[in-house]
Amino acid sequence: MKTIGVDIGYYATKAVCGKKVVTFPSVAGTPNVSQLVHGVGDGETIINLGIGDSYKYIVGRDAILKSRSTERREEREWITSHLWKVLFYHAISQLEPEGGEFRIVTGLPVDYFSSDHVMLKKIVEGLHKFAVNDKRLELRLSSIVTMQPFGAVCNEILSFDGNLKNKSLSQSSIGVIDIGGKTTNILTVDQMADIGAQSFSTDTGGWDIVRAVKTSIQEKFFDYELKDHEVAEIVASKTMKRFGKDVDVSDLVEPVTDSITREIVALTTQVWGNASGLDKIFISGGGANLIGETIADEFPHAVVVSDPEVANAKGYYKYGKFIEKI
Amino acid sequence: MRKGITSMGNSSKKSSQKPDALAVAQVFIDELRTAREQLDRIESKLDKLLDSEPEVEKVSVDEEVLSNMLKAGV
Repeated sequence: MKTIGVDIGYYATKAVCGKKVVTFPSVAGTPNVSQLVHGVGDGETIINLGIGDSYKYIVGRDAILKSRSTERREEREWITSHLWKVLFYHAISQLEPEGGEFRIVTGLPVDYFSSDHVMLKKIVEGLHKFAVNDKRLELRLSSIVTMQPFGAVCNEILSFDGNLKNKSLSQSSIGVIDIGGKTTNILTVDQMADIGAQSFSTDTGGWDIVRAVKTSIQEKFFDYELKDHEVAEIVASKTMKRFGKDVDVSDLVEPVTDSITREIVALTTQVWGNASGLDKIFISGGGANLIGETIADEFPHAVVVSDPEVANAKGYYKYGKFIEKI
Repeated sequence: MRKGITSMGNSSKKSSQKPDALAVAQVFIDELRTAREQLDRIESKLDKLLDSEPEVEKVSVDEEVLSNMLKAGV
């Protein structure tokens, strides 16, 4: 049975199977009329959850660019939504277009893990039937659920074949600051056991930066209509297109990122102090691309992990391979 | 290159040198071809290495770490 690591975040969905990595914005939208009549456009994928057009979705960047109405969510219960299922199916079908039997390794925010893992397992496990571009697909799934930042730790200590690659790190005290779209998760592990008193989730994440920057942009350029994912790209590049020219908007982005950085650092110091008791701090998650380096500057032993957005998904995959060997 | 060398051969002296020059050129071409094949092989190996995580020596997992890792996923 193949293992697939799946990390469905409020900003982006990431899935990993071996060296294959799929990532796309966590957005779904309705296909437009011409697509329904004439079929799928170039490179687009339509996921059909049921019978009839009301269950048809296009996903990710295609939805942002082409859908008249798009859906993205930021609430805890979204794992029960059609949107979550569409993102989940799209991720797996991109990696395994023929369907089959798979072990899914995925994660929940630290604070939701105890209460929600049973529900998530029920949603993931069992037989799933859906269609991708009118091709019927069946998935038979089992699952392993862990805490999201645990993926980032596994990514550092395990190799892709599930073997331990860094023994000393596995025996040490590690802190993770996992900056997601809606939540930032702080996880502390000692010899790979989570320390509950020093692990928590906070409702601060990349979307807070996006919302604040969006407001600033609209105040400065009142004639501008932007979708959230477009603003996220502006935040990352600190530039935006206006009348065909690149405009530097660092003055709008940096005050916001500085403020969120200070907030996250303040929260972590409440449980870690100056973090001198930790051997290493890893900063992961898509938000690490925006503010990871400025947070890392606050701790001498903190590093932004390589490819922070997919670190959890890679770690889930490696953890699944590790469990497979036991 | 070979054509250029052949076209030089008008005088008897040059004509007598022609086979040697051709032979040298052929050897040179063969060496270049071998070197190119070696480069291709090295390039292919490098691509594979860059594409994959380095092979890691299997390290034993500490018992407590193993126990903790098993508890981390449900």
